[in-house]
Amino acid sequence: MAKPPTQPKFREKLWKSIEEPLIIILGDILLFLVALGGLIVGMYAFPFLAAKGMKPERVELLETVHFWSYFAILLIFGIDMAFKMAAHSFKRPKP
Amino acid sequence: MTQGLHDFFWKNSAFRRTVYISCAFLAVIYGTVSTSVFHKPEKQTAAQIAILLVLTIVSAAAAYSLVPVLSQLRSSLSLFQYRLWDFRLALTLGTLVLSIFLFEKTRFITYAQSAYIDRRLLMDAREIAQLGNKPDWSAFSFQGPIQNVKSAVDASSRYNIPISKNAVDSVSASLGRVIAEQKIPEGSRSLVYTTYGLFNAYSVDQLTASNVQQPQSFVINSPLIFENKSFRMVGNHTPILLGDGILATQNSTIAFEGLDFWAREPYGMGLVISSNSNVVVRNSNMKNLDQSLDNATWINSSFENSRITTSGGPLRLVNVSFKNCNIDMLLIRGPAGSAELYDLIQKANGQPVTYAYEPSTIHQHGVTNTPK
Repeated sequence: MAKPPTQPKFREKLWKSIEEPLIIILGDILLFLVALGGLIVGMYAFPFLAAKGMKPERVELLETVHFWSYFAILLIFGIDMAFKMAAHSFKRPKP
Repeated sequence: MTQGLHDFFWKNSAFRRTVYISCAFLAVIYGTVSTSVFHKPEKQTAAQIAILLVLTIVSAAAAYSLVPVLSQLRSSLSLFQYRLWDFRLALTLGTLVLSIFLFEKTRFITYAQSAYIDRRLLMDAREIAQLGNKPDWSAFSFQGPIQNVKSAVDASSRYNIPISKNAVDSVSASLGRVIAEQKIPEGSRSLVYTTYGLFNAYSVDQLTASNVQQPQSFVINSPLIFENKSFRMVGNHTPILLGDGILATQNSTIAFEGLDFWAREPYGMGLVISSNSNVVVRNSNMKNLDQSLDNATWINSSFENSRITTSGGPLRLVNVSFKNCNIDMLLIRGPAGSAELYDLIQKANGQPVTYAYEPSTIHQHGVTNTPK
């Protein structure tokens, strides 16, 4: 006598529902962290460039670029997360 | 539509990340130019970038959902998929770094900045000229283009970015005209005068950059006439004693920086500047002189125990203080505008004054030079 199909456990159901979005979000977070890490490492290059004789106004310009890079990356990540939530909330269920 | 938006944010990572990388470049370039070149406040720039990014991302998502061509491209976009271990990412970053290095070495960035500033200045000159034609100028509408000009001059001086003669002439003509017509809104006067003075000084600096001298202090006991000369003298409050001789300029472009012109007793003959000369005196202290302010730009300087006159020529003062000076001649034989300067100096009571005067006849020429 065949066994009746077992009901998936709560943990399995939960994982199934969040697996796909989690992988996508984790990919985005990883990219964001890599970009952020690159900028943090880049921050330590400025004293080195100044010591190597780069003109102070050039270093200042690079620091400005660096500042706006931080800002742009944080903002894009924030906007992306907000729109992800909105798009997910307003998604119509498939017929 | 909803499904398309969902796909953009949740499914097609390649297309979304391409949009985000483009947005990041756009935001960084905008922020850097806005704050470094035009000295806009950081908060204002940040708010503008936030709006710009939201609009760009929403537009990209909407286009992705609605435009059939983009939808057809969805499958092929996987070609642009970046992976961290993919050598194409390293190649892209390497190309970027190499491009920046080459741009730096070939001064491409300076040329690009110069072209950009020229274009902005020509637009600002046109806008100032158009505002000048309106019967009712408001301080608010006036401050935008004037502030742009001031920021461009600041950035050009700071980073040694050359401005073309065409842009310099156009801005000078437009600003000179609004000053000549004396209809500048009350709230913008100081800004307009400062900008005009700094702009003129910048153009003189540009013309004299190739001939910079560092003089020792000396006494002038015979006529010293600079005719058809173009140079800059830079000192560190180096005293130049105007004795029995005179120091005169004729058809010359000269910048005196950090030189203190003194006479032994009040009121010794000051600098004699001809109407076809353009002279800038910066960071200098003048003492015991009988000095006409005409045909010169005086910046961050002071007059002490001196007699101040004008004869109706163009003059520009930026942060110039007058201590214990005789300014009565401004009222007695001064041209139109010198009464305003008299009042300004009186009210300042030794504090720095910013002012500019342009005779209206000169700017008939300037009007015709305004870019179309």
